[in-house]
Amino acid sequence: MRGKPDDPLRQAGKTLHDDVAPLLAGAGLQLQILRMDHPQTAAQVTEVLATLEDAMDRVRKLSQQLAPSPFTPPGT
Amino acid sequence: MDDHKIMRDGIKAILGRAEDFRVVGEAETGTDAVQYVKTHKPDMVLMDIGLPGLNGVETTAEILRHHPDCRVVILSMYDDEHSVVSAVRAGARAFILKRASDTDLVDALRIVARGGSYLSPQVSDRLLTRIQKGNLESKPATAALDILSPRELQVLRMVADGKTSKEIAVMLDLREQTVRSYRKTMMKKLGVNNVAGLTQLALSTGLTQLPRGAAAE
Repeated sequence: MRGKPDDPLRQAGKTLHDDVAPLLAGAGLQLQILRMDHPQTAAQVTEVLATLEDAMDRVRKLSQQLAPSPFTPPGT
Repeated sequence: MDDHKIMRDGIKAILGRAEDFRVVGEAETGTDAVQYVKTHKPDMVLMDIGLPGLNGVETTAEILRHHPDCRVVILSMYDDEHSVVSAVRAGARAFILKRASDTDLVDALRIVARGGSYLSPQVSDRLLTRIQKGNLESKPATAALDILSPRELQVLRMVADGKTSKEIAVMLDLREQTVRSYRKTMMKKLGVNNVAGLTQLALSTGLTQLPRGAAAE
């Protein structure tokens, strides 16, 4: 599944990693702050965070399959 | 140190709620971070690993070259051992996986502030498994480029990314003549005659990748 540097799939993986995942992580941080500031929302926020974490794990796995980290030796 | 404002804002807000930390500055690029650290000498830097231009590992090495007492904590979407090993080799004191739910950020920073080091549990679990299996990759990412020094590798990646000697000199705080000298030395060592040859080698070894959009051209 891992593409060459100019492979569109690899570009898609990089987009997932560089653009989509940070948005999910940033949204997660904002939710954590909401939970800190409004403890009465903790149960619902925790539930949303779990869903977000699941989405993030899937994005992480897919992006690493399509575009391994730049520190990965070629051929591995 | 993150190129995404939503991440910087979120981290600032979380640290703002911890009484023992004070956010003194932020930067969007590795070059800006190095300049900031040289001027303000912060105790600690939180560094995104996947930065455009100077990446987080290269920026860490540059920061520590100018301010060896600085404690650099890497924040990463990548959880593979190659990223961890690269970051630790560059001198990072902690490697924290970016997650949406409860982050270990504040706890990790406290450990590093006390002089310790830290790996996110998901990362350390994976590393332990790889070590137990005996297949932890310990070689640098670019075996074909083993003859180059770390600094030459850094310059090569930037040359292949299309940076001019002047731009590289600014990013690495070197004289332009020094960068030209690195280029000549690398060409001699690698047996290539021009920048195109260096770029081709950097791409073929995976040292760098084609810029986004190049695949469609």
